Amino acid sequence: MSSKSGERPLVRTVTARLTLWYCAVFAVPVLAVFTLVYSILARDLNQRVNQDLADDLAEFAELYRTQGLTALQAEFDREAASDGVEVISLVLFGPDLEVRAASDLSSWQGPDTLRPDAVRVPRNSPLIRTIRIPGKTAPARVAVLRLEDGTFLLAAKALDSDRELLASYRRVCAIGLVVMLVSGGLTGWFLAKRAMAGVARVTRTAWQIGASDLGRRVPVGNEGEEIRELAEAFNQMLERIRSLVAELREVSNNIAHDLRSPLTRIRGLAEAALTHSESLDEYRRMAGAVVEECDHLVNLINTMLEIAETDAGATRLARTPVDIRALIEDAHDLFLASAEEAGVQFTCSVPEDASPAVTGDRGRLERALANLIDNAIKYTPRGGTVEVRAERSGEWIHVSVADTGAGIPPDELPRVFDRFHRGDRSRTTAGNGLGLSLARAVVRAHGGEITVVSRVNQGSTFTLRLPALCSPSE
Amino acid sequence: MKILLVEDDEVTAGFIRKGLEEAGFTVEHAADGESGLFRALTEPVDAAVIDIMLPKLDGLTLVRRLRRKKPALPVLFLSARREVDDRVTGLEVGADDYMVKPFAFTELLARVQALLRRNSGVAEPTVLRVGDLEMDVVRRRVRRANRMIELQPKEFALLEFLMRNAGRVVSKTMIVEHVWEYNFDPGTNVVEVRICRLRDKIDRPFDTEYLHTIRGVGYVLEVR
Repeated sequence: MSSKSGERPLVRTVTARLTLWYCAVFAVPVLAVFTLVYSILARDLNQRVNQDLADDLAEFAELYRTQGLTALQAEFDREAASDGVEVISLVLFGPDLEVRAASDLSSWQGPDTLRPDAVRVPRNSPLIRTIRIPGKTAPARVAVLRLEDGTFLLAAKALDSDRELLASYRRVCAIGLVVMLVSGGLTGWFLAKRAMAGVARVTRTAWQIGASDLGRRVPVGNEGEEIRELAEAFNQMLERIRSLVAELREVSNNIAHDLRSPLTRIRGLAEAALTHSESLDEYRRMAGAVVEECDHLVNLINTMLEIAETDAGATRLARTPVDIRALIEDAHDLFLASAEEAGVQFTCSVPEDASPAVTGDRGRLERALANLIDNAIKYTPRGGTVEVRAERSGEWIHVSVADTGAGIPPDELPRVFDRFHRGDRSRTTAGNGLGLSLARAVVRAHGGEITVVSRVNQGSTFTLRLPALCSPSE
Repeated sequence: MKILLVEDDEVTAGFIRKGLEEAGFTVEHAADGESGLFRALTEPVDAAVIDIMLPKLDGLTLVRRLRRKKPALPVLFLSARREVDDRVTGLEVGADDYMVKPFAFTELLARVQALLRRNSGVAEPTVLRVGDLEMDVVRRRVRRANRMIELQPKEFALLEFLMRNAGRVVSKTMIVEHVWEYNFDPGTNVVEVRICRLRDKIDRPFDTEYLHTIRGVGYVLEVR
């Protein structure tokens, strides 16, 4: 009895775990896609700026070569005015880096921040770098081209709009991600809750079922095949428990009854010995009867314990090869005189060729067989026959005890192996109603089964089916 | 012959003592484990009958300690528990035999006598005699008043068992165990029928009966 549902930590519930998994499953791919798109976008923007600057430089170089400085200055002004002087700046430096022509550089902190490092500028292609302009939030991209006459043509572009674009993209991504996480979590929680609802229902019922209402069952719902199976398995287990408890109750009732009867007789005998004055012989007879009753009682208790232990698998069975022929012949030898006395013809037949053998506990198998033979002789009238046969059938050995006795009515057949079950006819005969139960327990412990076929007034055949020691040689 | 009985239940101790004394033994009784061990070590006893569940010192420990000083003393354990484990532990610590309560006193007596015999080292006789009934175990011949008696193998074994225990009561359980080697009561009248047939051969044709039935307890073969 550990914790009930309310006491368990939330994170360890299946619902919480499923929810977290749903969040992760939603978030990870979304995050990956966003990151990929972002990096592609950033790279494209970068390349476009570089390309634009390079194209501009080529165009201005051509203009400068063909039409001279004045035309270039005019073109600078026009270009800067059209794109915006804060966005773009254009400068032509002389070989000594003095300014020869320039657009309006007032928002660029003058030409100084833009002035290139002459040595690092290559001859044929533009040098492109990103610099930070004091007083501006976004950096600027600067391209410098060395011209044939030793001058440096420079074009710079502020990256504010690109940065803004990326920033807003990031914002959109973040919002998207949050939405995904929340919806993923909610979906996960909802689905998990739904899936677990059946389990929770079964659990609730299980907690509610007490010792007194073992007849209660978990209703089988339609939450899905698995839950239905769980409920059915649970109900089946309940049924087993209920039948075990019922059996236990019946057995204890029987025990109480079967112990009380001999105890009553013992008490009666002792009391009679005390209160009546009898002859010495009569006292001896009473004492003898008391001893017999006690022996019967002890035998009953021991047999009961043995059945219980064997059924529960608590007894350690010996595992040695047992020769079935020897087993049957010994039993035949033991019971032959009793059978003759009862006027019953007692025969046994075991196939001559290979003597069948099983692995098991000889003492217990002997006992199981003896119980069957004992019953057969007891319930067969004078002139009848009892026959013990053994035969191999595939991987099994069948040992059958057939009699021509009273037989068992069909309605009693299913119960003959129950503990303390005694047919109406057997009540008058000596016995404790445990012989067949013990035989069944022993045979089952050996991995076999016991069956009975019977017809009233024609006889009964009990068959022990035991696993053969080795498979038959073909 | 002196036998030490260590048993805390007064009634049980009483009937065992009475029975053993009637069989000709001297009985020393101790009601708890400690005094039992003390007497076993200080007094000259020939065998000990010890209950496993004892106050102060349990039977198993008692025997374990006793064995260090007297390794050859025959010991028979009594126990109310039926578990095989108990039997095994009992024999492991050095008991020579083991009986589960409740038991037939005749059986206890037979076992104590067997332990003493085993310890005395005297070989079992091969010719047994009760009155004018004589059995030659080696030649497998039985005769009474010089008349040969034909017995079936199991009847022979049954008679041998009775003759070896002549004068002592043997229970049905003992007979089934020794003659058929079945360690359970096979029910019905298996033993009665055999005894009856044996009686037909060894007693009926003669004037005196040797084989007597003690109701509820068993059988005894003796000249009365």
